[in-house]
Amino acid sequence: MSAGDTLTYKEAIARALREAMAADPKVFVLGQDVGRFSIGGVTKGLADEFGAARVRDCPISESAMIGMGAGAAMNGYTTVVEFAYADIAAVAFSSIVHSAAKLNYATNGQLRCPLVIRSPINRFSRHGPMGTEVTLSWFMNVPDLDIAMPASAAEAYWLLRHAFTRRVPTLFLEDRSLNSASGPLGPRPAAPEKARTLRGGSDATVVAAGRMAALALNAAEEIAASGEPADLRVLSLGTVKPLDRTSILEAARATGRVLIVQEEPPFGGYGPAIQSLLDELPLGALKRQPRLLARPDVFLPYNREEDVLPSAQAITAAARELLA
Amino acid sequence: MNAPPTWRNDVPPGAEPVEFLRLMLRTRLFEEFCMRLKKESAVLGNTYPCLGQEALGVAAMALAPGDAVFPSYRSRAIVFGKGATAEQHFGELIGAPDSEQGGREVFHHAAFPALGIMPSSSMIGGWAPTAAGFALTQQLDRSGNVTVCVIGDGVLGAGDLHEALNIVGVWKLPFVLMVENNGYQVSAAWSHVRAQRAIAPYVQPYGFVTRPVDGNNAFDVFHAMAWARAEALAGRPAMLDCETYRMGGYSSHFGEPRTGIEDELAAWRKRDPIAFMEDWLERHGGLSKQTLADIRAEEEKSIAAAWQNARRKVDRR
Repeated sequence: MSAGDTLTYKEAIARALREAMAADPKVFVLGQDVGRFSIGGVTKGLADEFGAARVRDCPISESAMIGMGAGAAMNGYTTVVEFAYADIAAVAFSSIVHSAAKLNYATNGQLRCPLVIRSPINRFSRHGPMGTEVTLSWFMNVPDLDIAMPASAAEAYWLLRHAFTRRVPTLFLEDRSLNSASGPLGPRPAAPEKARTLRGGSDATVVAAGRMAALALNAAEEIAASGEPADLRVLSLGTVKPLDRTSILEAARATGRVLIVQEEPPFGGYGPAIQSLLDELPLGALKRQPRLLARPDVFLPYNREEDVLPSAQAITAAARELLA
Repeated sequence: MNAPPTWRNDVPPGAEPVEFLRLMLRTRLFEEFCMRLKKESAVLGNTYPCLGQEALGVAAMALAPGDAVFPSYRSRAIVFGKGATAEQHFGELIGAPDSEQGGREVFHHAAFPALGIMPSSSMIGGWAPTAAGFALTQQLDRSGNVTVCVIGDGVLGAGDLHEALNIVGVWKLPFVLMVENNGYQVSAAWSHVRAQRAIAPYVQPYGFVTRPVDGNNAFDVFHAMAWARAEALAGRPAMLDCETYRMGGYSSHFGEPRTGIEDELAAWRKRDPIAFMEDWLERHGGLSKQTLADIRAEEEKSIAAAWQNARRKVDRR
């Protein structure tokens, strides 16, 4: 693969998965409709290439699938569990927290658990309150659970490859509404888990992850091109946990103004975590109080889902207020 | 051959009955020692003694070194049978920083992976899938090994168990479900929490071969595991329904009422697995009462020495 390759977000995920399976015969996939028929498209062709034993169609048993991944890890295997969509993580919550995330800790490192949980966010798929949730904040206070939320093809590719190098599980929150967004994969980052500066700027920083980071980039470009231009830095977290504290603090110090955008209500998630991180800065380090733009405390409706989610316009407006 | 074999009381080929006795004695004496430590506040952790269920440990002696066991929190006998020592366990109970779990995990969840002893979990239903996942990797590796998942019968109520058993049956994994069927879920008798005492009706539809086991008879337990292991390796996941009885309380801290069950206790006391084995060795194994007393004294001494060693290691730091 060359650094100049341009792929869609979905192709990037598929390529990272395929390459991980080719590199290590002890990587296998569990999911529903992932083998003979790939319902999400990401696993298409993998059963033909690697055999049905490594791309396994399962019953509707997500909790068991995660538990099996933890058990397989005890014997040196890395399991990729594909959920049909992110909301389903709720029925596997206990297995994710107790069986997978705690394994390396509880056994004092005797047993590792490099499990990859592909949990796609069904944004704008019209699946209503039970099929479009983000779920990231549900998992924020689980130590030893990595959380990745890629905003671009490059992030998706490099973060998925990175997940296979870990000794703890990764919750990989890919956003299906970004599936056709394309971009260059670029060279291998020195530290794929670090936040990425999608756009340089000195007037304010917008910090976000996943689709919100992609939207923030649009908002920043719009402001830069407007009649009243300003230069916004956009920091895409990519990896939400472990949180890249250094890059966030650096950007905050450099710009003096921070807007955080998250697609979930404000009672958890990276938003409040970053706000409390910014509290560590000395008085006067920031020109303005950091601002969190979040969804109100409501579920996501079947119709007009976009009305309750932060939009590019809302990000622009919030950034303008911060700059004023 | 799917017809469940009947209970067997003969000496398994190659087995040393006196080793069965030693394992059971070690287990009981260890449990009693831990209960004393707890009572005297010499340790922090609660204990979950397997008093009366010691014969189940002999199942581990029918396994190969490469087989894996996922114990229940009451499987001390099986963990000892698979090779972990009392001293290792005391280290975990103390929570010593240089113990295998480094003081992070309670001792009844301790893992000794080099011995094929995997951790236990408080999520007793959720742990069956991990055992199934391990069995899947054994199948992928064509390792010729099995995974033994040990559960108490109370786990029948947990949904995750059924998810796992369904998958094990469909994929014909080298998996043995060993049920410590003592008929109680803490204070609740089995009839309050499920419709049938026997486990077979619940797991046969998932594609398991099953065998009722006299869980208080070491010979039958050994035969049963040897059979189950062979079945599981031949693509027939197996379930052993080991009927037994917990003679002690659930744990050192619950103190559930044990009144109204005096008849049960008396009946099961007559089926004590250690007394049975001592009696057998005296009648058929040519061991004198004195030799049996010596064996018990040796095991007692080694438990006390194991505690002293574990304690000394901590005190030295």
